[in-house]
Amino acid sequence: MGRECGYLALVSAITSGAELCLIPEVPYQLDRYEARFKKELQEGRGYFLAVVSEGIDQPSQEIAKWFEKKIGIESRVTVLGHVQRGGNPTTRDRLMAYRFVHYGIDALLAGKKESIICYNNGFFNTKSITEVAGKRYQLDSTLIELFFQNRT
Amino acid sequence: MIDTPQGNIAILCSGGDVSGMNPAIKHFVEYTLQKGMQPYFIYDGYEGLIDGKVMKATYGDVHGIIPYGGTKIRSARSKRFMQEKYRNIAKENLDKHGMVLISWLYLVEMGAFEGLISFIKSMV
Repeated sequence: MGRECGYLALVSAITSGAELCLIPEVPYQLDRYEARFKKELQEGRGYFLAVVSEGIDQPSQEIAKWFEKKIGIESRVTVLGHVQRGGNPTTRDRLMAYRFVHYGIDALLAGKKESIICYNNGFFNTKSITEVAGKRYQLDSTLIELFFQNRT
Repeated sequence: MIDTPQGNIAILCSGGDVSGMNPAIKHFVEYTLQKGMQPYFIYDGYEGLIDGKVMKATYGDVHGIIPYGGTKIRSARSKRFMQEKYRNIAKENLDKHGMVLISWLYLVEMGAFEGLISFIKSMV
């Protein structure tokens, strides 16, 4: 999920404690992980979790094979998508949904007919549809740094 | 299009579905009823809007749906909605069903935006 935006994959990687995360915003070379991953295996790491975003051209199967061939660990690919979409909404999902709909109806009743309800930095606001459409969401650079510093 | 709170209002889910749509649908029904509006569901996203899948929504439709993922009113990606011809049909369907919308709400994945902009421009 996420199309060409790596937000979901990055946040998933951080919060699931993944060792590898591939997102469209950050160029990668798998070989640069090889020495460190092998060392970590020798030093007690039991498994690796790799999160590969939608929008990465390389098939996930190839990345799994890379783990098997170069790192020497059995690997499996799990494709999320329907599993994820069909998952139970978390408490946060429910609260956000409630608020989005509530503010949407309020905006309509206030006469804002071409609005999108947006959530930015902890606040809800309305933007016109033309302000939002066709613009690419820029992934928070501090979030990228949080995960990727000293890794590649 | 009318501006009074007594109007009809519809919700649809476009693009891929996602967890949280059901809680949104539930609150949509309850909040619009509270505001004196008549809520409607449009099933199957824009595809359903083109095909006239418009149904009145009641409390009974939304009780107990919060814990479930996806969306009870289903979502769809619609290639037809990208064409003006089908957007016109969609608009006719809204009118035909007495759907004098105040406007309408939807939960979106980015995919459907281009058709949507043209559609909104035609309605406002």
